[in-house]
Amino acid sequence: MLLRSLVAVLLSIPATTAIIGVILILVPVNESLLMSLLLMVFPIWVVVSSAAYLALRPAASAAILCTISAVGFGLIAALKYAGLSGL
Amino acid sequence: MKRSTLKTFIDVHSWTGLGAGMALFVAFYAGAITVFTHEVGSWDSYSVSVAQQQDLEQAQILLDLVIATQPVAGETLRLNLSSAQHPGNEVLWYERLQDGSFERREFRLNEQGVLNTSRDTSELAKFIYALHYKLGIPGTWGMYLLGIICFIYGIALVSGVVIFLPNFVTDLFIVRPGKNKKRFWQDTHNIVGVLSLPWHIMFAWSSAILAIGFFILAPFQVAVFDKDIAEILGPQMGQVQTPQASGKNGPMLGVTELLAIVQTQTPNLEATQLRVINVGDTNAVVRVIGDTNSEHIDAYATLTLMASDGKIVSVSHPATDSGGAIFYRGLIALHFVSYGDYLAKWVNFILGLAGAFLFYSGNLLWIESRRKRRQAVQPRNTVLLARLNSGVCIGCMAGISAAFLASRGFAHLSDRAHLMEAAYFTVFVSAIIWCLVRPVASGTRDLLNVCALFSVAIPIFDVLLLDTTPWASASAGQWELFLVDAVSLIAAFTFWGMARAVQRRALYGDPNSVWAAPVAIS
Repeated sequence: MLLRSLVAVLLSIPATTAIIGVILILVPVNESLLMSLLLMVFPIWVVVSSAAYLALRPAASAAILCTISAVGFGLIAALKYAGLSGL
Repeated sequence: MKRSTLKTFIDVHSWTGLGAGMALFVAFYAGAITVFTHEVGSWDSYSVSVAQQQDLEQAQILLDLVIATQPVAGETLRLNLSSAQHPGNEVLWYERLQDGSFERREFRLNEQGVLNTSRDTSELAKFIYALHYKLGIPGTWGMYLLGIICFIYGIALVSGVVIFLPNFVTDLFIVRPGKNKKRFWQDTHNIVGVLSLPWHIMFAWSSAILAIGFFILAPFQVAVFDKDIAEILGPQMGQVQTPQASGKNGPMLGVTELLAIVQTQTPNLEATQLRVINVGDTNAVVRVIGDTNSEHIDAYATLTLMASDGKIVSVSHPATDSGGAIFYRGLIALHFVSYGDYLAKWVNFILGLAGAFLFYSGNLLWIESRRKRRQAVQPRNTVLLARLNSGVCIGCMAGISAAFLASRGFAHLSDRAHLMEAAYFTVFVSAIIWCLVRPVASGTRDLLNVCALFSVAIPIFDVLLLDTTPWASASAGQWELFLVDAVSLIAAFTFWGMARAVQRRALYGDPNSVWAAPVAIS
């Protein structure tokens, strides 16, 4: 349970940042929507962490969360490199 | 739902509850009292409050005297205008000391119109408020700890819902008292948890934003944003770039003139505070904060004006705020119950106590679930949790009642605030030690009796030590004394009833339980 919880809590932080970060860059947001999306970080972090417990083994939840983070941050870097980010 | 998934979430709910429950109990119990922070403050400062409500003319005299007699040039002053609950005007200045820390300085005008620089020693409401978000841990570490606990609390809420979903329809409104104590605690835990779920979601969310919002946003600054997030979000959160001090002395419009200009912009604004930035400078700025008396959940507005000519620099008003700002301010307003009237306060007070009960009952449920029904000696871990649960939770309640008593009892001493804090921590720590050395049932019963004793002493102290009585004060329209004393009496009666219930269970309940008396409780 300890390993599972460490995976769920720690790896959900970059995964949440990646999910919200991609939305922030892909959706043309104004400053008002920007703040609303950033306020959603906490509930999404909690839901992602809780969902991590659905995987049967800690290794599986770690792999899923790492994949979400890698894909998300890769997409963010690519979009920023392409000059598509206004943030 | 798969059996293995349900079991995983039961484990998650148990461990998150155990990890965060006691800290959240302290936060919720102190938070419930903080709902009435103004009333507690008025109760506490009864002996120092002035009889007549001061007016704007006296506010001007006070501000002028502070600026003329104190080294506040270029500094920031806060002028808190008088209200029905705080009849005296007050100027606050956080003086920067040589070691970089700040010292709070307070100024008031006494009845003879002379500047009173002595600090108000009534700190009870501030102490309970700080206890609610720092748990009594010095510095900002307590706040950060509670921020992390809010995250654990969030996971406990999600896992709790997942566990309860399969039995949602059959178990929602059922409480089964009787011999099966586990069933009883589970039913009460479920009904309180599910019915107040939206409120708990709001609290976990808003508390995390208030406590660790900066840390939540930090990864976005590193990975997503090229611009400074604070610069983008600042204006929406009411932050205004004020002009730099010029270094030249300049005049400032009077309080009445500034408020008249504010009225032209926001006609119904009831100003509560004027914050003067760069005092005495030609670029001095005044920020006027007040209640718009509108139907918005956060009805407070902030207007920033140049102090020299009253030119409006910025207006932050709930009617014209952006969607993001309304979202943020709404969440914070829900947290601080800065909406509605006394009905909203009472509802939140009851929900706060119900929240504290939720964490307490969650731990009881864990203990009951692991009870060995065929042996008198119970597992060490359940005995330890029972001791800690009683010591921390009941000790916190006893400590807060002791703080009320100390603040009233030492009202004439300049060290009153320190003595009040010492009373809380002495009782709190002693309670934990008491529960660790005594059998669970007798330790718990004793602490509940102490809670009852301390609580019933609050109105007795008021009658003995004040030059009025709660009923005389209430008949004069000042309800704070009566309110605190009446709630204390109800609390005392409740604590006494709970102590009797613990005693009954110890003597006549199942002997194979941590709550049974090893020998009859004397």
